[in-house]
Amino acid sequence: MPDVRELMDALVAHPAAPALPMDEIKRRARARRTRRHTKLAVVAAMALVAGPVRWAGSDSGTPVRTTSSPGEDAPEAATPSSAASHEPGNKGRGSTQATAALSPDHIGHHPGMPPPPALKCKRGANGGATDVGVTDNKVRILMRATLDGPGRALVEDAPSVVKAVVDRVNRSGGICGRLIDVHVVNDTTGRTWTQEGTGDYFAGLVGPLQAGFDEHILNRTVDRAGLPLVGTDGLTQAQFQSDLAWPVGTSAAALARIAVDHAYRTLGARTFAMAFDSTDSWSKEAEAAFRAHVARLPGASVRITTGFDPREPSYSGAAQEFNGECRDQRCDVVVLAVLPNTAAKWLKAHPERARLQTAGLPFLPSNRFAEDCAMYALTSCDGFRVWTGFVPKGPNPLVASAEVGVHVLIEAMKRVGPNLTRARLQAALTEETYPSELTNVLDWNPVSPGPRGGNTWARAYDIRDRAFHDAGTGWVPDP
Amino acid sequence: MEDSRDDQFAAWYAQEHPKLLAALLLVAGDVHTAQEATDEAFVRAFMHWRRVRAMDSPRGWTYRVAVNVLRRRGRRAAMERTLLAHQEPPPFVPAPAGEAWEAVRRLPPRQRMAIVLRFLADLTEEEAGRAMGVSRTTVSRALADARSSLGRMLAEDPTMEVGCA
Repeated sequence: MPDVRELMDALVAHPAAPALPMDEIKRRARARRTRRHTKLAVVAAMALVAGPVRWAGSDSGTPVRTTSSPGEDAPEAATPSSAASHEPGNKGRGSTQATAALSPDHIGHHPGMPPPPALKCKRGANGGATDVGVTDNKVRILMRATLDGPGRALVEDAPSVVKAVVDRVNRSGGICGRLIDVHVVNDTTGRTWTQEGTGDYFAGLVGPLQAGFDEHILNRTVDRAGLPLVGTDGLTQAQFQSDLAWPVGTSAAALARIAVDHAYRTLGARTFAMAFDSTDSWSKEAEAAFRAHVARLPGASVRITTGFDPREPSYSGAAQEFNGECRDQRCDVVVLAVLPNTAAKWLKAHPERARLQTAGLPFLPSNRFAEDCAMYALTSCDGFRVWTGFVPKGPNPLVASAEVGVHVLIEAMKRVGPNLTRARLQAALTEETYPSELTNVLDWNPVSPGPRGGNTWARAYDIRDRAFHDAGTGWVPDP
Repeated sequence: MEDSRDDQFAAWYAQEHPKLLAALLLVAGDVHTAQEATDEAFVRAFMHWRRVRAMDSPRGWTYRVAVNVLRRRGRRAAMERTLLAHQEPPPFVPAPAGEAWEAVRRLPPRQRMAIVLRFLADLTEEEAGRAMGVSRTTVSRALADARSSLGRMLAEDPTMEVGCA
C-alpha cells in the first residue's frame, strides 16, 4: 500500500496555488455584503417608484384552506427607525416594504444617512419586509398538497399535520414577531410551480406524492420560480437535483440499497428478487439501484426483477414469471417496491415466499397493511419487513414527510433570525444539520460532488402478530 | 477587538489554506476549480468568523462549504457545457500534486473523499462522516475499500508490457 499520506504531505508543503492575502479576503467579504445591500436597495427603490403594490393572488388551483392566517388586513407596523419617508396613513404593503427594506442591519451605511440600528427578533424591529412574502408581522408559506386522485387517501392528512405544527409556533408569537401564514393549494394545473404562481410567497412546503414535481425540477421551472421548497418526500432522484428543493425522505434508490445490503451482511442473503411498479419513476429507480447494488456485492446475484402495471386487473401473469425463478426457495430475499394496495394485491396473486426475508420499501409500515397481509397472503406475515426513512408515528409514514418538512422550515427560519431572506434561508438549510424526532439527522451538504444528501438513512420494522414492530436495526446508512 | 479577531482568523487561515486547497485539488482534479472553491470558502468563513470559530470543528464547517461550492460550480459548468456545446477543458493538476492525483483519481468519489478528508485534512472519522453526510461506519468502510483499491491499482503496473496474442 503506497504511503498516500506522504504524497499528500508533499502537497501541503508545496501548495499548488497561493493563498489570498488577508486584504483580498476582507475586500471580497465587503463586496459580498455590498452586493446584498445593493440588491435590497434596488428593491426598495423600485417599491418607492411603484408605490403601494397589491400583490396578485397566487393560487390558481382550488384554494382549500388557509391555515393560521393572522388576517389579511392587519395593519403593518411602522418601523420606527426607517430612514426613508413614510406617508402617514398609507398602510399599503409597498410603502411599508420600502421603509422596512432600508432598515435591516445588513444595509451598508450610505453617506448622509444615519446608520441603521441592529435588527432584533421581535415585531417592530425585525426589519419588516426583508424579502418576498415577508412583512413585519407575517411570513407567507405556500403548501401544495395532493387532494385528488388515487394517492389522496395516503396523503390528505398532510395539511392538517402542518397546520397543527404551525399553530403551536404562532401561539407562542411566531418567529421574530412574524406569524406563519400557510396557504394550502390543490394545484392540478401546475401554475403554482411557476414564478407567476409563487411570487407572493417566501418559501414553499411540498406535500408527499406531489404530482408533477419531478418534471418541474428537471425542466427547471422550480429553479426559475426561485421559491425554496422544503419537505418533499425524497423518493425520486430528481428531487435532489435542484438547489431550491430540500427533500426530507430517503430516496427509493437508497432504501433499495439499504434493504439489500443489510440482508446480505446480517442474514447472509445471496440471491435477490424484486417486484416493482413498472409505471412509477421512484419504483423504477429502486429497481435500478437494487440491481446495481447486488452487482457490487461479492457472491450475490439477482434472480429476477418483475415489473408490472398496478392498474392491471390481475397480477397473475407477473407472479407466474416471478414464481418461475423463485420457486423452491431459490430467492433468499424478495424486495417489494410498490404502494400498499398494490402490495396487498400482489400477495393475493400468491407469489413464492422468500427463503429468508420479504422486505417492502416505503409506505408499508401501517398496521392496516399488517392486518391485511395475513388475509391476502393466506399465511402468516410474521417477519415481513419494511424499510423507511421515517419513524412511523401515525398510520402513514408519508404524512411524516410533511411534518418533518414544516419543522425543518421553521427551525431554519429561526436560525436565520430577523433578517429573513430566501438566500439566508437557503444557506441555513444547506450549510447546517437538522435533528428530527422522526428521521435521523438531516444534512443537505454532502461533501461528495453529486446529488444532495438530505435523509440518507432508514430503519426497519417487522410484522409480528398482525402489527409492525421496531426491528432493532437502528438507523442504517445508505451504503 | 476587531484586530485581534482578524489576527486570529489570519493565523488559522494560513494554517488551513494549504490543506483545504490540496484536498479540493484531489477531489476536483483541477487546480483552478479547487482554488476558486477554497477562496470562496475562506471568504465565507471570514464573514461568519464569530460563529465559525466557536464551532467544535471550524475546519469541518469550512470543508463542507468548500465542497458545496465545488459541487454547485461543477453542476453549473456541466449545464453551460451542455447548453453552449463547450468542450470540457482538460483538468490541470500541477506538480507536486501529480503523483498524488494519479494515485487517487481512479477511486470512486466517496472513497477518494474519505481518503482525502481523513489523511490530508486530518479530520477524525466522525468529522469526515459529518462532512460527507454519512455514518462513521461508512467512512471506515470507504477507507478500507480505498486502501485495497489503491493497493490493487499499483499492483497493476502500467509500465509492464503485455504481448499481443
